[in-house]
Amino acid sequence: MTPTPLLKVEGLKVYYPVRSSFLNLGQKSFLKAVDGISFELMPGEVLGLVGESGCGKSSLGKALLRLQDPTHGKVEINGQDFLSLKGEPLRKARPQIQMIFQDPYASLDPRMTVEATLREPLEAHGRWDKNLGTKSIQSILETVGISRQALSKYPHEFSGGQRQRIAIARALILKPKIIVADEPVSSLDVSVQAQVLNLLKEIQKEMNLSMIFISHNLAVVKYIADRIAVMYLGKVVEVAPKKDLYSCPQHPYTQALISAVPIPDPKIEKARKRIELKGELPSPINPPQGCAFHTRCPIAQQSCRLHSPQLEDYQSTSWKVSCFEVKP
Amino acid sequence: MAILEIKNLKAHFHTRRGIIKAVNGISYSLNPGETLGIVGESGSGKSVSQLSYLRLLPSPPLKIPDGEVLYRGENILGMSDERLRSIRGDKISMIFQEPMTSLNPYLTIGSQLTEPLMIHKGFSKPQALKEACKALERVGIPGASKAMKVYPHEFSGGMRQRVMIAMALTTKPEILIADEPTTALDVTVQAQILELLKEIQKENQMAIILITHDLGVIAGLADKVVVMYAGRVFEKGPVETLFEKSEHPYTRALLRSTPRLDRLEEKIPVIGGSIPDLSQTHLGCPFYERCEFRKEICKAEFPKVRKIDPTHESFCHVEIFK
Repeated sequence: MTPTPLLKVEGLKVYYPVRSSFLNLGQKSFLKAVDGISFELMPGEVLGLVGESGCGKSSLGKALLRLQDPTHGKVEINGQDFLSLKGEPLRKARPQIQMIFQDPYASLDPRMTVEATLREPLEAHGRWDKNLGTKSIQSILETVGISRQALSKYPHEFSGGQRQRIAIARALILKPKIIVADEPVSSLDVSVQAQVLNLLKEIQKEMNLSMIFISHNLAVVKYIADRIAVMYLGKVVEVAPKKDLYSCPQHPYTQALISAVPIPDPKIEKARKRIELKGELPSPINPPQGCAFHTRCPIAQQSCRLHSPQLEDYQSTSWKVSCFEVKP
Repeated sequence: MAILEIKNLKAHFHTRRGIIKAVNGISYSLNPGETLGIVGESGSGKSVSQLSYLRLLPSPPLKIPDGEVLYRGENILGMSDERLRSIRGDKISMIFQEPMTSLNPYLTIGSQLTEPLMIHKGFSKPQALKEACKALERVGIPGASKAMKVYPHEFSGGMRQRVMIAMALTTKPEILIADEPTTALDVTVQAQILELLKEIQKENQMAIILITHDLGVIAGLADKVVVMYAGRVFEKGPVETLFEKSEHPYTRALLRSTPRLDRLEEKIPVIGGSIPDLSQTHLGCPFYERCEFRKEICKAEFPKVRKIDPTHESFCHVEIFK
């Protein structure tokens, strides 16, 4: 029997309307941040979402929580259609999926103590009970490695790493099934980054959480994810189990991305051959015709300019690539 | 002979809450045509150490109580403002991390690029425009003559950083100080910019001081490395030596705790605790609390230099390899 996915996303689109210029009044144009993405997430699985800035990875994360309502598509959590929910049923469903943000300096309210920060989600969902609530707050703090004395302190009294631990505690307090972590360690120093990464991995294993881990750092994603999806201009161009993606990436963009990440070893690094991409990310308001990557692709053919490839199975059903030049 | 020599430089900030010793007695030297990488976490003093002697920080609160910075044998710290201005931006140029905040949003790219040429080289406007246009072409900006007329916001981050590099290079500096030049950029663009820096260095034989927290960037570009922590230099030496035969517990811990693309780890070894508060006085080694090799003496005094070989120095009481 195949296990049923916890999260099912189908044809998700997030379009932001763009103010049209004076000349083409009436004609609406859109910034297509997420342009038709489908995937499934199993219980206890960590899906890494990588790509460069502007590829839509954060918009996708926000759309999953309905922090930004998707324009189109389907999101099912545990078989329940999450996007059609309204009012009370929506509020009841929200605790299942929680988010950790990039910058713990901005995501914690400076005027709320740690206790108030952790208590608010419980109260908002009618789960606050003086005895049990205090206990669960204390136990969650212990899990993330923050001492009990911290309860009455304010965010500014903590370092960046500790603040991120508090933000993790806040995401966990409602006992979610899915965590969306958007660049959770990007603003931290190397020595602190490793602490928070290890913590996230431990918690994920212990609680059997499903996680979507969004990051631009391929080395960090490699450490935590089971499966990785590479995004380019609002679309997934390749998705594969971690081992396959790093050892033999198929899509030319994945290959270039991996070859561009510097390795902290002078002997390896100075001898390495890079696949250099020309130019930069095209505007998502007016993406190129055909395959969106053809403007920078080292192996682009004439047909890539005209038709856009679909995400198709490569070798197995868990490995998908969207490129005409990759034959299964 | 070294083109730049820093000797026991200190940079302190006098604030209402006490003296913050951002840079606390550091020394190193830079040879012509060489790339020196300065690596450290935030608050280690890697940027302040450069900005302080170039007088790019407001003073007060900054004070330089001690030290010497010799540019071709001449002490920069004792120079008149006028003399320093003739060197800074001409012989010593700088690129900053965030190209949006370091370019002036009110001025066109062209007028910002021609300014250093007219001031330092005494070029006329048309001469400067021609030179600037060449510089833009050199850094790979398509349609350079058109690009001269646009404003910084019309460019992407990578393009802006190219403009910054062009600006720093128009005067053909002997030393380029690059402060986290690719931190705000995507990896594919980072690769382009680093490649560009390498090429230009080869052409001009200039020396680069590369400040970064990214050990991968250091590994690809630097000849020598200085490792900084809490205002101190912990270790310095040739890049291969520091990555393979590091003698300092902090350097080793930093290398271990960096996730690597070419490895598959179950658990990343971590450095416990966090970076110390610099407004507190540290008599001994500032890494004491977090160090796995610490001894009683480390608490009381900062170690003297230990020379492993003529090019490799470590500042630690403990000899890990003994």
